[in-house]
Amino acid sequence: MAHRFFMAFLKIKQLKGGMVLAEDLTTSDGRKLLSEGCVISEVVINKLERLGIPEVNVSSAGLDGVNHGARFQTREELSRYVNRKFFGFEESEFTEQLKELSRKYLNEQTPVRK
Amino acid sequence: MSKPPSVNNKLKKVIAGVTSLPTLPQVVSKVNSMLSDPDVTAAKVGDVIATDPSLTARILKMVNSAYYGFPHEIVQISHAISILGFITTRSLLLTTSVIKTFGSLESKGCNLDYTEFWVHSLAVATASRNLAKHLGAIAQAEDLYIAGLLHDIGKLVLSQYFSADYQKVLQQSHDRSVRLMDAETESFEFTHEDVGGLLAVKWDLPIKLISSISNHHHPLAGDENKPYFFNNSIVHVADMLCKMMDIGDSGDEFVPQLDKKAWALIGMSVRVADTVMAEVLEQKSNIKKIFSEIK
Repeated sequence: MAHRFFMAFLKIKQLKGGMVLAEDLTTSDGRKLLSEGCVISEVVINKLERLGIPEVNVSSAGLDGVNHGARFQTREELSRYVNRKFFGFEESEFTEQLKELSRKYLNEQTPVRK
Repeated sequence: MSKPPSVNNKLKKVIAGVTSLPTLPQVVSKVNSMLSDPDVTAAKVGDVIATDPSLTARILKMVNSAYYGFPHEIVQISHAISILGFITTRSLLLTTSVIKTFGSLESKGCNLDYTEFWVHSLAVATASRNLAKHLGAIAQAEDLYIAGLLHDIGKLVLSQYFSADYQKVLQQSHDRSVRLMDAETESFEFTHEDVGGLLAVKWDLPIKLISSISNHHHPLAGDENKPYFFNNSIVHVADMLCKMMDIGDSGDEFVPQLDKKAWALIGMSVRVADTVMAEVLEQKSNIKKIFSEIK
């Protein structure tokens, strides 16, 4: 499940609420602070700043496009994301139509790079 | 959703352990009962709302926001009510009260993102209202707005009163790629639908609202809910449309499993889905603005 999306090391000042950790965040002595996949809230960002953490690895899952380029690098990445969102749906033309709408409106908000 | 008695008992016990469930300002229930009186006037309702200065201020702020776009500033609450009408006033009153009620409880650590949660809820509210308009149920539009707004309210109770446990549930859902509902059931034996329904009962909300909150993932469950199947189904579909485009974040990254009978019941089509998604997207910045003004 790790590395579903592209990742980026961001300085604490660049973090915004809603971003998602791409890997466990541990201190230099190996203490785990936060788990991979954790959605970073403003409260957490303040704590990280106080702890003097220089940067963290965030996944594109919570990025809003405006923060750090496109949310999805390619159409394939967008498709994979949408397929995962719809897991458990029967394979049918109807499901495909729903996925198409999902891709359309996700792409409209944060267009893929390529 | 009907549950075996043992689960109901466990749910009740857990909720009883919550010393104080959030309460709505008294003004809300007072106004609700006033609006069923045919002789009610904007001035009378205004007088009641004015007894709560912070609610009054929020409502005036919203009325004067760009969303409504009136040419002159409205300074009197009774004036606001006569312009908005009683039904919209009630929506606005409930919206501001609920967001304010939960806003005073600070969420701890890495849990639901409060802003994203309400952006999702306001988006589902907007989608529900618009679906009603497109599907020939315009009379239900405002009720459905409220139902959409409150559909996930149980998640706020879980994340604020069972913070550590709910954090694990959110993490489980993410790590194991299971829908949040299923992760909740595994850990608690009940879900945010059940908790939200209980809160709605406690808040004395109308029965059709309780039904939509308790059944938005199972819109056609329980014969006793039959009169509300249509409304439940609208909220069910609206929730799915908003999750399909990631507007806000309710803590569940997956599109909820669609009940196709519910889709058929409301006369839904892919074309209407497309239209409503475009409308909600167009409202996205307004939704964020509304939230930042009333939070």
